Amino acid sequence: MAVVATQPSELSAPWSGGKSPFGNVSWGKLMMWVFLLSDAFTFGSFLIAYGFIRFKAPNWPNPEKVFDAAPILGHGYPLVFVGLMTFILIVSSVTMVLSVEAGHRKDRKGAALYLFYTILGGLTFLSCQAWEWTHLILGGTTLTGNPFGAAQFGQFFFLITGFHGSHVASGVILNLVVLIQILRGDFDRIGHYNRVENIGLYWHFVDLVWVFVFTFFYLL
Amino acid sequence: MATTEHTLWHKVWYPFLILFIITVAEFVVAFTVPKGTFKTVTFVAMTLAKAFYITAYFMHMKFERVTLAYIIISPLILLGALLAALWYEGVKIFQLLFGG
Repeated sequence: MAVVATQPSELSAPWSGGKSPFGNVSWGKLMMWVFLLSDAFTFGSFLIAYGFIRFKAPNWPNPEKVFDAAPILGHGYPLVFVGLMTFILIVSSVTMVLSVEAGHRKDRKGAALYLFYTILGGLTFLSCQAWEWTHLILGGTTLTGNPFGAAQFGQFFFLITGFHGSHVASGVILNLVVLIQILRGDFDRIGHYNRVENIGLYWHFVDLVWVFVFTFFYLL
Repeated sequence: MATTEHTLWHKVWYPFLILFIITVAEFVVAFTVPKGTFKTVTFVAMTLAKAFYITAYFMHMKFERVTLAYIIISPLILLGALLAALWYEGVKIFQLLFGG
């Protein structure tokens, strides 16, 4: 029987060699995704460990009691301040999408302007977190104990929000570096704005992690 | 021009609107529904929905090759394994400590 030469099928064609199986995804973007996957494991492990400890501690603090303060307003407003922080981070994600979109159109001014708004959003979020940490620490919540209940609450709160906050801080620094590169015209010279897209992925990931931290620390 | 506006709506404002509505709904649930399994399940479902919209639209995963999506998302099953293991362990330790 003669061997019939077969055309590669639709499904196997991307893997039949000679070209990237990921389409026209740049190496930087692919590596950013792999990094974000590893970061997702880190945050996932933190949150699962937190759930485990919380489950076995009977006197876990009630988040509505712990997070009931806001600047100017004072006490008695549960979740108001953290709601504002969540909103700021989501809006900064939106301006980041707009910056990436402007980059695709090679619109230097638009990309720079929206990236600048994103940086402002990040800095506002960090300031809010600084206020919240200060408020909690002055109220007696430390790594070794707190007035609301189980001591592990403070440990996990400062570990996880601190790790997230340091991600936001490094994101702001990365955004600043790329903003300078946009303004210098680096990306017009090399012909693409891929780097804006890569740091955009990182920024959205930070927003994504906050969605989980918000639910598991503040709502549940 | 019309097509650019359509994609901008589709890629930015549509997911933003959904994220905004889910966040508002989370606050409504936080203040109206009593503590319990139903509340927990609702919150987890809302969180996963938000995670989907951020990944699919903001991070553009929906518009990439499925190969990329599989390679990045399938390893996260391992987190499910960790969750299952510690859940089981947590129930045992709870019984040990408090005789539940």
